[in-house]
Amino acid sequence: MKASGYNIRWKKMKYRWQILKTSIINTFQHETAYFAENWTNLFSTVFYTAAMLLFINVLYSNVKTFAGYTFNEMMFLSFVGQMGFYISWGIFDQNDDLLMDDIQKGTLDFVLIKPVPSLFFVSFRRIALVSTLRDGVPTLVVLGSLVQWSALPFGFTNTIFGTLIFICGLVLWHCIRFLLIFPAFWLGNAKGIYSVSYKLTETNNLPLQGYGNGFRIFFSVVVPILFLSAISGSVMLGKSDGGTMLFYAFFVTTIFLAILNLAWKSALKNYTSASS
Amino acid sequence: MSFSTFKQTKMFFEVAKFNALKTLAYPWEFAAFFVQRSIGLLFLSIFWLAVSQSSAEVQNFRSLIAYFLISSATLELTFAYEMKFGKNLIVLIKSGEISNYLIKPLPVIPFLFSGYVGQMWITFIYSFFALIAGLFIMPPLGPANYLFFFVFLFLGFLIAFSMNILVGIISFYVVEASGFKNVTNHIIRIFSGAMIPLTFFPEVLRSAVLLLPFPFLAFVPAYALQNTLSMDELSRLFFTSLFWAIVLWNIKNRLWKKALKKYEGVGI
Repeated sequence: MKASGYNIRWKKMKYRWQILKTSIINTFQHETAYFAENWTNLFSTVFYTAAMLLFINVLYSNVKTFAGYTFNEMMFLSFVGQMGFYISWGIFDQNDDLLMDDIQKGTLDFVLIKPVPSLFFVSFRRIALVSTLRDGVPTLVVLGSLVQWSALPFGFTNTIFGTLIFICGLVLWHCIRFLLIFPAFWLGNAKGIYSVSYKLTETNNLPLQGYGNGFRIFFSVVVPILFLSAISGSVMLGKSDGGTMLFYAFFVTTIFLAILNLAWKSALKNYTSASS
Repeated sequence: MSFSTFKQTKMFFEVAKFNALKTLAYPWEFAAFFVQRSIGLLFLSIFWLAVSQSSAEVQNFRSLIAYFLISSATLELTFAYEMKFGKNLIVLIKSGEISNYLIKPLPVIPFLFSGYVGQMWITFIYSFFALIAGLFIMPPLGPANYLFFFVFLFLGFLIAFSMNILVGIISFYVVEASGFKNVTNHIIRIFSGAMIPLTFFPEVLRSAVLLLPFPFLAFVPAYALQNTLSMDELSRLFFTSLFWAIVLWNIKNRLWKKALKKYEGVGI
């Protein structure tokens, strides 16, 4: 029995890996078909980075430290925030847009009739590696070159803990965004509700220590957005206890994944397709 | 006002009303809109509270919050927030849908803009409350401040309107113009004072930025409402904004006409 259970899990994982591979190849073909047309996005991210650097410089021309962070530490935090942004943008953004459109237009039928795990499929049917590398790498290289890495108090354990928290943060960010899309199953349209997520990304600009206790709890338990950069960055810099934060990150991620699964099942029951 | 102008104004009003009514199909989106804007203001408050706690030299938190309430309202009222009208134009031009409007015997831009204003009526309500809250927290020093505010707000609107059209015009020439729109948004976020008041900028940089059109979209109207301006400062700001309003308006008109000649719509 144990062996067969193991086999089923292995087969499921293999199947999901195949879906991921197909999504990557499919998105790659899609992105490279009109590659030259999308170069303006790089232009945009370069300007965003320049604007952000100017913002941090102006800020630190008025203060010596900000929420206990030096200029260099703030640059590192921005680096982590930007990395989180580009990874989530590459993996989640297009899928979020597709799901919203599918629900509103009733074309989610085409997904639901496929013999695939539907939530997994709608989460990863587009993985924009080319765009992420094209727009993210130059920005991160510029930001990374401006950080004085040797001056940062990195420790091996904290770096590992911080990286794991960062991954949990990515999963949580995906859960939050999908949960903001699901009201569309009941209301028909949730673009306005989903746009709340754009504002939530502004948490990347503020170190964890800048939040009061109430906000810190709210944005790490109720709307757990701080794990992605504020908490992971704080742990990597040795400003927060890595072990405790990692425990919280795993705990909150597990809860949110369970909520996401339940919400998806409940939402599908309310889905009125185009053809039924 | 001639009869035809009156008829056209009435038609634009009807277009705005129709588009406003269309938005009522999804009432929850309004709640989301207010939540979104409130979260934005909340993060700004948390951020600037942390800044004011980090340095005694930074101006007090109360005036900063008043500034952000007023400047965010101003950014909405000038239609500079995220260049959304420009984004609409990009979509229409890219998809070729603009052909449907070009064949109609009416001025295209005012027609599309009135529709857009109708869709955005909720932002007026938000801006009204944000302005009232800002004025309540930090009342202006005198009636002249209100006058200066409205003058700069109007000039800021003309500048932002032209910028929106110019962003849209790009899509006549390149297939994917949303990158340029994003560039404009990033520049506006920093140089309009929406993210950081220009008073925080180093002197040289601030003087240079005040020569650009962007500060008139948020910072200058809010600054004029909250501070006593010297005659020299007032005239400098007024003539700079007037200059940009006229220049951008004319550039926009010329480029729009030029772009239309280049446009190849399918089926017309």
